[in-house]
Amino acid sequence: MEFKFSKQEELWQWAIREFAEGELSKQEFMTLDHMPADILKKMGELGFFSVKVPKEYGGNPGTWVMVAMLAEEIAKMNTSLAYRTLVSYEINLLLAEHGTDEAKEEWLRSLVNGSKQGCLSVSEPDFGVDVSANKTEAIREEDSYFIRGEKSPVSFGMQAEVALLFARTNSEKRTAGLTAFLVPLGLSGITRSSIKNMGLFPVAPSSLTMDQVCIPAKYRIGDEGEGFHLHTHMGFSSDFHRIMSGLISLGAAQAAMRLAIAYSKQRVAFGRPIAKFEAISEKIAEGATLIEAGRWLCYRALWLRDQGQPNAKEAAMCGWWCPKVAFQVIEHALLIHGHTGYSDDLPLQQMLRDIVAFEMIAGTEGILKQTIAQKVIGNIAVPDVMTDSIKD
Amino acid sequence: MVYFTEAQREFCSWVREFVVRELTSGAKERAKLEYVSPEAIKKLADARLLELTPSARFSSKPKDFVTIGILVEEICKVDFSLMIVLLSQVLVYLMMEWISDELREELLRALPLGERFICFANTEPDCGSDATAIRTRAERNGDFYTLHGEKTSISGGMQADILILTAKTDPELGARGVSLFYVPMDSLGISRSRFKDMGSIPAGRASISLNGVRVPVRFRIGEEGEGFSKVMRTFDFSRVLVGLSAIGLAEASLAEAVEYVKQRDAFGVSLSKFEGVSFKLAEDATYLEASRLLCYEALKLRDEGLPHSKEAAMAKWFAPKCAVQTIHDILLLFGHRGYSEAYPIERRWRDAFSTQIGDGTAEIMKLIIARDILGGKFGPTM
Repeated sequence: MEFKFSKQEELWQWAIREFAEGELSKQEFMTLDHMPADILKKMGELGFFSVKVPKEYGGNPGTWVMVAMLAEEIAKMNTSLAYRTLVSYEINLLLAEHGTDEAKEEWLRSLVNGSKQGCLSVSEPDFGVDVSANKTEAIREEDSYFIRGEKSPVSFGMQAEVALLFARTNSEKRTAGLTAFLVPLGLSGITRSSIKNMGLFPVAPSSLTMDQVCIPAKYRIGDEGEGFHLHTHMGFSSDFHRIMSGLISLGAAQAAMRLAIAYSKQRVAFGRPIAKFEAISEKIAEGATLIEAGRWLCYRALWLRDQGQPNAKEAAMCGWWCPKVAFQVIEHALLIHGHTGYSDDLPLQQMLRDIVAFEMIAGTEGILKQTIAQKVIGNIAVPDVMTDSIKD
Repeated sequence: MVYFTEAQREFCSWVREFVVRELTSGAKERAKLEYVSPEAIKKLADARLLELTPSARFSSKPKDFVTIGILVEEICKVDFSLMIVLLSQVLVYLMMEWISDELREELLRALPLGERFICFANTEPDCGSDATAIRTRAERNGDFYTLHGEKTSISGGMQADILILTAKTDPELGARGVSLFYVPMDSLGISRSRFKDMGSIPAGRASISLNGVRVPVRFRIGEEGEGFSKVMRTFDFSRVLVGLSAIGLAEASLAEAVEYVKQRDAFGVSLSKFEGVSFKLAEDATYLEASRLLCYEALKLRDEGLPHSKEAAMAKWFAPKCAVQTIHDILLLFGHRGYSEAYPIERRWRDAFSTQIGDGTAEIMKLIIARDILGGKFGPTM
């Protein structure tokens, strides 16, 4: 066993930290309603969106561990930006692997260099976790598709130039009727309206209404009917998404922990620093334990992926457990600060509001536990109500 | 509830009906204001809900502590912003007998009409629940006291026209050097600034600095050196009310969740059919019921004149924790809807979080409980 990053990974981590501690500490944008374009551009220039993308589109080779380190380090400074990184990788890699040459030529390079942003659009107003019930339809007419329907909520929907969107090309089939498309958001027939959330403000989600939006067939990603597979391979219900959500949460938890440790040494109550009180120091000890366990759970799941081994069970574990414990760590860090933690004088309340989203972003705890249960118990563990609907 | 009296049960159904009729409409908008809506306060006054005290000497409509608890729980189900008003009215009435005659007469006239917004100031930048470490100084010169210092985290502080604060009249003494003062907010030398909080926005939490504020001696509440013990005695009551306010928020959320999981489908069946959902709600309902009973137990003991500091401390850490946990679970159950400002869950989540901090953190409560059950010699030493 070897619990360490490779030389390349260590250098990469150093470069990210250099950027994060330099650039991201200069600008406070936790509460902005958009991502600062200059920061995204800079990240693009540093190659932060390029790992695993083919060289001809500005990409670089690298490991999954490297992609995750990026999200974790950025999350220590800003959770929304870390989430931006995750979604960028999903779009870039789906496009790189399954897009047509024309689509890649037109979009991939600018997505990788950070000059353009994409969003991934799956959810519909009436269907959350159950993607197979999606209603948005794409009707083929010669060399075009006409898309009609409503997607909501779409993270980054207000700012993105392009959406990687899942729509139904076959209404008879459920999951096998879904297809992925690249939809430039400037096209006529698209209306976006902003959704206001309790946190992750720079993610600026929107609803997207599409009324006969015409896109060329070359913007189809993968084959017709392949959408569900792509979604589970590299989209919101992918192992990748689950692990990354876990690590982003733990990144934020590490930042909260740093604040709590510093405060516990400086704040005096009953004549001594509150670090002297076991009620405080044990909470910090517990938080440190949870973070350590969670990080290795995530990095091992990524290592398995880098080795080409299955990691669905481990990824599902990361997906429900890491955001949950991260929330707990941040909550305790806030409570250690008492009333000062409740106001925006400190970033803790915003971190807590942000992290709640990660308890949902990778699927509900129930869904993720079902994945684990089926791996450790077997298919007998699938609830009857679910077996009926999974059949096509 | 099984041990509510007939009168308490009647009050409970009356107040429920009152809240739905008078406070439901506009509650969402009021929650976004940076102050408590005067119209809503007026409604409480018109319903004679602002003279909350068991003492017939001070109220024409006396209510026992359990009944006041019922009021807080029911109102917070719909409009949490009124909590700060109810809480401060209750505390002023508890101190009424120690207030000088002239001030008292004026208060007894104005308070029931909702004409005074009072807040309590104990916390300072360097001291929270440790009231003996108070630095705000009150120096007596003839018929006046001069106040210097800074109070912080004052709920209602931005809106208040009267401040009741703790200050040291004798810095040499610890707790016995603390006295209580009535300070009009329009006095010279007072300035305030607002905290931008994650929730409970209308409570307008403030820092208040006192720079040579002069108040007449008759504005002292009780004798010199009595401040700390008086504050501690009121805390036992206010802590339970904070617990019940959190429970009100959680109960309203639970009721919405119950409807939601019946209507909402996943994989072709109601969400309620998944044990991951229904058992979570069952668990939360259990925690709420248990913590609610604990709150009323403390109030009942108080009504009977029995010691209840331990029970109040239990209610103060346990009820907010259960409430926050419940609302959190329900927020996640609602998914992206729960996260959006379009639904009330996220606001309740932010509001309820404050109840874990205000009036003493869980650590302070456990300290009180530990001292009580272990006794002075074996309990935690501070």
